[in-house]
Amino acid sequence: MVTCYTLLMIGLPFAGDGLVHAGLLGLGILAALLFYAYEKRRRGLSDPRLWPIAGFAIAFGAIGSRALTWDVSRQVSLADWWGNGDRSILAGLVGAWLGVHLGKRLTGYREATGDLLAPAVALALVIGRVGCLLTELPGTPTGGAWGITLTSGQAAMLGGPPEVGLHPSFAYEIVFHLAAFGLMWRYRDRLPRSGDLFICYVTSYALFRFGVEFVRGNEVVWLGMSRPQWFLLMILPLLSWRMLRVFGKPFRPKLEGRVA
Amino acid sequence: MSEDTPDVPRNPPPPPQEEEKEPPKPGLGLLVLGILLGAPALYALYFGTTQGIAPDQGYKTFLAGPAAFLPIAVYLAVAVVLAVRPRTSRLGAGLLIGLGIFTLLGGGVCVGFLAQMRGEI
Repeated sequence: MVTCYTLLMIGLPFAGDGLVHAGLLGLGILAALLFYAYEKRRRGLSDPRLWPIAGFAIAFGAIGSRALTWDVSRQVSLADWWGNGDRSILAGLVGAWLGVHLGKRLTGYREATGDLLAPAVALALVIGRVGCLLTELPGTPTGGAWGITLTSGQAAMLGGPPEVGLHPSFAYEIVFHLAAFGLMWRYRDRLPRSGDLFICYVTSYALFRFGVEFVRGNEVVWLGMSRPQWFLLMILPLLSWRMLRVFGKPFRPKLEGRVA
Repeated sequence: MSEDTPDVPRNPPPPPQEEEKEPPKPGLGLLVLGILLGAPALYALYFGTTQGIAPDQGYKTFLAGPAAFLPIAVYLAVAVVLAVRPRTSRLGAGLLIGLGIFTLLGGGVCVGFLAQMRGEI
């Protein structure tokens, strides 16, 4: 029994390796751009303003992932935070959303772009989270045999307990985004309104992320919940209201042609 | 002698005009160019500058303190202007994507390091 358990224990092969993390993140961005180009073509969308809008999403998403997590209560300057502070996918998504709206406002593009962007974001997160899985603190201790174990050196570097199986929370997230990508691929032309796909994806991710935060190992700030969970608690009512609007309308039949 | 030739119509229909050609769609070349120029330029600027703040280099840098954010702000403003103008929108989009890649893939460390140097220089 001990032998089986030992065999199943998984290590962290690239703990703290920024190059591996950055490489997989870069691959994720590349995959997202290629998918965006493919989907744009499939839908017959040739408006030249769509590439600048994608650019706004990536630039402001990147800035948001660093700047929007800035915690002034910690008495840390923005510059220090920019270099050494937390980065967050959730803050990145908020930044990207703001960027898309700014881009649409400045270019005068009026149509919804969420359906075009949502599967590309999911694909980027599938690949990008592999980088997190291989390099970052995986999660809280788990009693299961599937946990990732850290050596004492890795534990000291990442701030986790050594020789204990830890929840592979990034693997859970990879599975979620993979499933979301598959579902969006299947139903991308069937939701009532343009843009609904993005609402469904973001809402389901918010719910999933709220749950997975309990095993992520992020700092608990109040009432047993982490900062991302408090942020999600604030935006979930708005997302739920938008979801009710999505499913209050009948699905449209599958369309053969091109749909914006 | 009649000039009529039954085989040839007197008023032949005008030759079909050339079909209206759509203006050529811009390729993705400018987009890729923007990415390939933008991200490496930012890396070169910030990595080059952080090398210059080594003590044995005599702290030769102009990007200390909050000024470390200046190139990013200028770059962002130029990229936004180019992205909004129809003729340069793809180049601007590429520059914006390049900024995103630089920021996400580790450029923040350089910028943050430079920004902390104000008190030490």
